[in-house]
Amino acid sequence: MPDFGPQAGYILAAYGLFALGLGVLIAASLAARAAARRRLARLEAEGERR
Amino acid sequence: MNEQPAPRSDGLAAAFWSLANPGRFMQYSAAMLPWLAAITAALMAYGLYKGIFVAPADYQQGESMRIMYIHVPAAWMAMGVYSMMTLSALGTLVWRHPLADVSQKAAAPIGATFTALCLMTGSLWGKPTWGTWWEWDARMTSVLVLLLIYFGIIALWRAIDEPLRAARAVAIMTLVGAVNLPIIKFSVDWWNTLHQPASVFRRGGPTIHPAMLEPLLVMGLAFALLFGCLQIVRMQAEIINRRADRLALRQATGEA
Repeated sequence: MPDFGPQAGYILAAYGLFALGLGVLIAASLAARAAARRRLARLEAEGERR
Repeated sequence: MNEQPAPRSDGLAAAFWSLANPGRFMQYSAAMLPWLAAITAALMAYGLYKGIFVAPADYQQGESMRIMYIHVPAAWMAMGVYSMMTLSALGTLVWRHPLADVSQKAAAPIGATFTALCLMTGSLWGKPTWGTWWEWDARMTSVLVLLLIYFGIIALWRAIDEPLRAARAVAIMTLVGAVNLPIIKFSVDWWNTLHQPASVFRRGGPTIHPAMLEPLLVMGLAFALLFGCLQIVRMQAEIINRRADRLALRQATGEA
C-alpha cells in the first residue's frame, strides 16, 4: 500500500465510498433482474397449470 | 414500452427500428454482456492500479489528487447518463422508439448513483484541498440540482402506475431538466467558483500531465462501459417485468 501521508484518510474514504456505491448498484441491478426472471417463471408455471 | 414500432424502410432508420425490438434486444444483449463486463473489469483494474500506485502526486495538491481518478469519471457519467436520458426522452416523445422509455427508466438510478458519488468524493477531495467539505458555488450547486432532478425522475416513475403515461411525464421532466447540463458544464466559466475550470475537455487540449491523464481516461472509459453493463442488466429486468405484467393481466382477465 503506498504511503498517502496525512491525506490517506480522505483518499481511502473516497475509494471506499466508490467501491460501496458501485457494489450496491451492481448487486441491486442483478437482484432486480433475478427477481423479474423468477416472477415471470412463476407466472408462466401458473399459466401452464390452468 | 410500445410493442409495435412503426415500420421503416430507409437504411439507418431501418437498423434503428430493427434493434428496437425488445426480443432482439434481449437476445443481443445476453450475448454481449459477459464480454462487456470482462472488458470493464479489466479496464477498471488497470485504471485503479495506474491511478493509485503509478501516477505521480500533484505538486500542489499532493496525494489527495488521486481522488480525481474516481471523482472526475463519476462527474462525466453523471452528465453523460443524463444526456443519454435526454435522447431517450426524445425517443419516447418524438420517435416513439419502443425501448426509449425502458432505457430512460433503467438509466435514472445509475445516473443518480454516479452523481451522488461525484458529490461525495468531491467533498472528500475538497476538504484537504480547499479546507471545506462544501461550498454553495455554481458548479457544486448545479450538480446537487442534477441529483435532485434524478431523484424527481425516479419518484415520478414510481408515482404513475400506467407505463405509457409515466413514460411521457418522465420524458417531459427529463427534457426540462436538461437545461441544467450546460449550466453545470459552463458554470466554472460563467461565474467565479471555488471549483477549478475544465482541464481535460477544453479548447487548446488537456492541461493535465500525460502520466495523470492516461489513468484518468482509462477510468473514464471503464465508467462508461460499466454504465453500459448496468444499463443492459436493468433494461433486461424492466423488459422481463413488463412481460410478467402483461401475463399477469391476461391471467387475471382469463384470456388464453
